[in-house]
Amino acid sequence: MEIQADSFDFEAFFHVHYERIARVIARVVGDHGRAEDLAAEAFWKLWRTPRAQGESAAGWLYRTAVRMGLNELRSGQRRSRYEALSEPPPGTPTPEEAHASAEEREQVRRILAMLRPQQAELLILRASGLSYDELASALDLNAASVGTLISRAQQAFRKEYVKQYGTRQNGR
Amino acid sequence: MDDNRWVDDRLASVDPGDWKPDSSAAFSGLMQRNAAQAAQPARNRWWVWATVSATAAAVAIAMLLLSAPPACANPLGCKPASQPAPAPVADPAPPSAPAPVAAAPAAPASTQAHKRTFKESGSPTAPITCEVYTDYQCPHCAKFYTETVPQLMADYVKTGKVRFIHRDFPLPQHPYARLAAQYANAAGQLGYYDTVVAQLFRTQGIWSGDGDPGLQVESILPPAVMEKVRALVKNDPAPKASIDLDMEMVREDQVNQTPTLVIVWNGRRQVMPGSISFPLLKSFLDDLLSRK
Repeated sequence: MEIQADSFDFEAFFHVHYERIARVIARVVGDHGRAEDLAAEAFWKLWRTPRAQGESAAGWLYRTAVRMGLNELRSGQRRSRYEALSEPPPGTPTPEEAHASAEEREQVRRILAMLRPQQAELLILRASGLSYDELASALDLNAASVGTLISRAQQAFRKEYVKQYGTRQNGR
Repeated sequence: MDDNRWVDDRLASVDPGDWKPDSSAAFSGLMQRNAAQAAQPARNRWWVWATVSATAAAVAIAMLLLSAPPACANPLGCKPASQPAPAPVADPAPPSAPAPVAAAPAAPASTQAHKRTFKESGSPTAPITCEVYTDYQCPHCAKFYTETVPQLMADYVKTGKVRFIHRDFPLPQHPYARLAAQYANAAGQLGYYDTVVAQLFRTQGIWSGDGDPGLQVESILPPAVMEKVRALVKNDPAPKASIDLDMEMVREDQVNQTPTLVIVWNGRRQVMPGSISFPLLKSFLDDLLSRK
């Protein structure tokens, strides 16, 4: 039996990490309500997995959350509806601007779903503000290689994006 | 534009903006889900329990076969299993008379757990039992015990809604936690359990530093009682046996941290690791009580 050091205050941990976790998932799935559902599901898994609790709980949670988000994205079953229901662009864009913005979000998510899972996870978590150390912990990587892996993931993202959508729009 | 900047710009388009999820509402939802699952009637989940039981039985048989070969498999030789290291103070000569707890036959913890002891409070017929595993050197346990437990006692235990059982889980990284538990259990044999438990948690920062929980216990007990407590800690196996019984429950419940709350309701044991605030515990208990 594993004995954890001291105690794990689940409630405090929840309040510290919930918002960030929900925003990571929202970045992937687009729909805020669904993001909250998935974030709650990730915490539920943590709650039911005592071995995941402790010092490495945050890494475990981010990894679980981003994978749940990507799985949801890949399933693609409800994504179109989500896009229609949420994420109104800021301000009062013209219909053309709104369409272009929604289209770009759709394209970005489609590319993320096509990348290798680890590359997509790296890009999403990096864009969500995780440090190199946090990324290494969350994805079980060598901290020294995180920079290189991010760079490769970015190259892969751009290559796939240009391949799918050409260099029009912002693909210069 | 390099890949770095270009990709960052693309990914920025999916940023959720100013959206701020409500963690309080989400946490309440999580607790309600937990309560709902704990309260789900057994008949609706019979297949889950059947599957779990079958799997557990298979694992147990496999473990038995692997761990109990016909020859002695102890790599150190065919010696009796080593005993736990003695606590710092407990190094006495054997007691002159057999102690009642030590002399008791070793029954499974689960069958002994229902026996009423000084660690138990409240009505034996209460619909809910709350069992709390703590380590006296754990700061989260001290917080839980000084903030949540008193309210639990006042609102639920004294009103007959909840039976409360305190269990010892001294963690190996806390060198004085087991000794402190021995003092509490010795005091419990003399009717001073709650007083000493409260004092140990209240003065945790002091005796964790000097390694002498007895000194803090001494400051609140009458001298004659304290003398008996010290004698029990030194010579009587019962305070240690009480810890060992709780440690059997630790293994049965697969507890791996402190504090851990186990809520027993309708024949189910719901293990809830971590410190839980009273408002959340209250909502959980109220939900269970409303399902009577």
